[in-house]
Amino acid sequence: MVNRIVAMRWGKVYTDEHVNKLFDQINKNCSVPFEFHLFDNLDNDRWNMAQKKHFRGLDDPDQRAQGAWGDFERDDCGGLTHYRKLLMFAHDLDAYPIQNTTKWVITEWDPSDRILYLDLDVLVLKDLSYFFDLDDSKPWIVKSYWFDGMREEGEWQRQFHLRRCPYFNSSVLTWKPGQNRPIYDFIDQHLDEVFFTYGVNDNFMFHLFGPWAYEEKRREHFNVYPPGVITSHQYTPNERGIIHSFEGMSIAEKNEALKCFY
Amino acid sequence: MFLLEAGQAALTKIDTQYPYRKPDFYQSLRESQLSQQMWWYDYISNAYYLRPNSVNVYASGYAIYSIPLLVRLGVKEINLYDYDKEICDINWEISYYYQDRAKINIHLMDVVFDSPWIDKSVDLVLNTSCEVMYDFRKMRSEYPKETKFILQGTNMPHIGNINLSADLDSFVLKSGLIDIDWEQTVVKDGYERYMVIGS
Repeated sequence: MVNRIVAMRWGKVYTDEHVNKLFDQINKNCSVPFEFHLFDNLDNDRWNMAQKKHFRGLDDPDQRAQGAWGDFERDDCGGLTHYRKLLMFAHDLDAYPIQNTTKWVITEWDPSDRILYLDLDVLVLKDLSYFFDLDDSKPWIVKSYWFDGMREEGEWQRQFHLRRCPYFNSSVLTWKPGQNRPIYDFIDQHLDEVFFTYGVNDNFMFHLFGPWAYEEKRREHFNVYPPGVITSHQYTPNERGIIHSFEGMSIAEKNEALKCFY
Repeated sequence: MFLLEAGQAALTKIDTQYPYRKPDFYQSLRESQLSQQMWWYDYISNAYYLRPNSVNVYASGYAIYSIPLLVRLGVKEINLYDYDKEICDINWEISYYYQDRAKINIHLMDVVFDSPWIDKSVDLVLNTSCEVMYDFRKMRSEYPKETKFILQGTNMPHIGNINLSADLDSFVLKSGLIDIDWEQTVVKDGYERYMVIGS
């Protein structure tokens, strides 16, 4: 059983500097043995074509920033931004060339391994061993507590049918190899419908694998980390969890905010 | 036709359990929402050939208008589908007052992704919200040939509207309906709303 900490990168926004900074933080804040892996430019031709076919916006389909995109707001543009994150769920058991810190290896992860995924732009502030001690019978995801009555009562419920305010956030994920394969398989079987309907991968997972999903095997697929484990700079800038996230912020906003920490 | 008790029950449910839903419940009572429902109601009332016994209502929203209108048309079985759990809970309250006149079933389902589990043995499918979901043609293909459909859509950009149609022809094409009984466009506030009926 190996503790694996993974990150993912695609396109040109995040450089080796970002990867190295994250690795340094992990190294300083993990009291258990781990292996670090980077999924670099992982992609799927069919999914990529589906994004190009169904994205209704004017700009880069992988930009998450909110605002109007021609006739549609970002959440209504389709294109499933950051879909590549979900490709990890098909490659955690299959042999795949991945890059660790020193060399390329081809490996098949063991079903008993534990995987902790971190966005490249999070800050690691406390011991990551917490995540490897969690009950592993289900995968884990961030709950956006700031959408759950913290700012405004009933915010995510009121906006559920508008595909907004998902209370899932995929900046930090914990799972065992194979546990999230149903998510990958679902998208693969409903490619056009998913990429047409959902502008954001977190909205998709919240609707189809969250508390109101119809199929019992999909409903409540994830456990959610308790409050305070992951904090959001955009909504609770003065709180400090194990991980501090900059989700929902533009690159410029993130870089500005990070100055306080480095 | 519209039972006051049903509305009161819905409001009581909202006041006690879902107070933050009050603004969007009141939005659902607007004249524009009523006229969308009356549009299909008027057609069915006057269409001698269309006397459905059973109806599937897709993306039902708050069914404060659709339930009494369908009951008035003599529909005996009404299946409401919506993926918003709180809307489904509120619809249960509304439907209670009409259960002596029709069997009303409420399903917490996404009509696009949970389509395999939808009962397709109904006479009519009613969808007044095609603009919020994937093209209807795939859903249509899962029903028997003789099923009738009443579909509405729009070209109006609005939060949550992911499937706008450029004009009536494009809406009809996306519907997947082949035998068209009737189609119409109405214009309001500079935007078009389409309705197509057929199989």
